[in-house]
Amino acid sequence: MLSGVQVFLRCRECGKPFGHVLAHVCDECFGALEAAYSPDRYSVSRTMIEARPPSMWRYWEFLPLLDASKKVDIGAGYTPLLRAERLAKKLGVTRLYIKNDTVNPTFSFKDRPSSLAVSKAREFGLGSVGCASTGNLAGATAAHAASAGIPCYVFMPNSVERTKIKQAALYGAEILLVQGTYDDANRLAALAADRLGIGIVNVNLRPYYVEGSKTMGLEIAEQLGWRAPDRIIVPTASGALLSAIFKGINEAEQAGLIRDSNVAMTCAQPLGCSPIVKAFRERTDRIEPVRHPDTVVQSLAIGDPGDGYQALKILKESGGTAVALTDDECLEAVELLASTEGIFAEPGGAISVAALKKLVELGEVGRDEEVVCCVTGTGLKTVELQPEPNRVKTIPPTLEGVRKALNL
Amino acid sequence: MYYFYAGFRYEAEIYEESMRLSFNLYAVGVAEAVPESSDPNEHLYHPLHMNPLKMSPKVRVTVTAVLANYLGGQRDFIVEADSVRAVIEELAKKYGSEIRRRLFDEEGRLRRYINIYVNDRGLSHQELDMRLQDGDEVLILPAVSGG
Ligand SMILES: Cc1ncc(COP(=O)(O)O)c(C=O)c1O
Ligand SMILES: [Zn+2]
Repeated sequence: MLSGVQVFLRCRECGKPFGHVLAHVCDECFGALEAAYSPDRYSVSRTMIEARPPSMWRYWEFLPLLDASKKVDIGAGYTPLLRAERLAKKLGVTRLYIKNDTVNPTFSFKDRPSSLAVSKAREFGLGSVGCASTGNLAGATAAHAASAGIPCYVFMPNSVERTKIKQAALYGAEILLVQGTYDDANRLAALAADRLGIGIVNVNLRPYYVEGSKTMGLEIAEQLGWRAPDRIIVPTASGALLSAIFKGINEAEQAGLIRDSNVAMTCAQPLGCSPIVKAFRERTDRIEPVRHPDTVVQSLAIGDPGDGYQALKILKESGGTAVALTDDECLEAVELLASTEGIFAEPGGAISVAALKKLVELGEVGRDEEVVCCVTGTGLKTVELQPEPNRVKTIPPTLEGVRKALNL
Repeated sequence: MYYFYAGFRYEAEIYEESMRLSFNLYAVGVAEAVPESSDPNEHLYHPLHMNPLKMSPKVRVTVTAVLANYLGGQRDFIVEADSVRAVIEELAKKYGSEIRRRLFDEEGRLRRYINIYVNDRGLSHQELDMRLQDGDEVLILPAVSGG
């Protein structure tokens, strides 16, 4: 099956080529490395893909794994793309879709990059994996490591929601709660990768890891009948997902699977940690790290976004935009999405819905645009953040009690 | 635990830690640590205040593999320098000027994809000339893509 080198790394900044190696930083300019493919790797047709099982691995030609037997697949991806008519009406738009990534195996989109990164760790023969996480990646990496039967070490800030910590621990990972921010956890993970030889999925395995998230873009294109929408709104922390979705759409076009894509990539961040939005709105080309993120949206609390410059470039290049949302706007969007479409997301997932609402109000998104909101994580892990709903009543075990409570 | 350094006491937790972790430390233009003293007031003497020659503070510098390429393959150093910028100069003196060119652009600004931390706190560009203290830990990392 393997004809020559089909997958290699190259520097995203200076273009220096690297082979198919375990590396993540360019030794010339310290830019991030990204995966590239020899053109024949993309030779695949729509019908070939459509005939494959419904998982992210149906886009095999777009993924940098060489040996299929190393694949760690617990069912990530190929999540529903739902036409959201009731929500669209509420927001005053006509064509709205929700990419529902809450239904992944560990209930966030992070299963996509984790599935790929842990597979690559196996291919490179690494004895252990790990991650720096704002919460969701912890569970995703831990679950895939469990399935692969390799140890997993998780670094996360101790402010992360308890459910996410417990979930990751139950998959068997060693959890290190860092007394600090995500950026502290990330720094430690980078040192652990360098000194202890751990395959940290979002550090030294990162060029491969991010390729997994491309599948979200590829799926959106396929599920729309092989075309790109006008706009994709992405919950954003480091900027990795937004960049990967755009890469996925572009590669689908290069492969001839879609044509004339003209998607406006749109970034949504919580106001208390919105360095990318700030740089975009202020038209500066320097991203100022947020030293002390101040938001309940823990999953998006990355103060120093590693893919910030890449995301910023894509926002401009694609004619997109960026918007910051308050904590309340995110929590309200959770309820709005749940009560109109039956999808229960965490605030860091429903923030794309809050962003659409705001951008329509600001007149920055047209009412007849075709929009996809990426909803990236479940609400069950963050349920304690939502205000107590007022529709809950306790009643005596009688019909009379029912009548009284419901005024019927 | 205190060590004498150049006739003055030097707080050397970093030596102990490094010995515990059995890191290889490569002293850059620095004297070896000498045995402990028995003076009970030792901890009152701070080298910066005591030192008539205004010796530069002695700091520990840590880098990762990609930077080690420009530093003779080493990743841990003890350097005497007044500021982070001076740390880089010391390293450049010993290992060649390539490291300077890699970390700073033509205008002397830190390159975009490099993060420098002192005692685990990220430095802004303006803080590169900030005065270092004895025992400070300087970490130089390529900006790691998180998420
Ligand atoms: C639910 C959710 N959505 C979106 C993101 C953003 O990911 P990125 O760091 O790739 O921008 C995260 C990141 O942790 C997340 O947990
Ligand atoms: Zn480069």
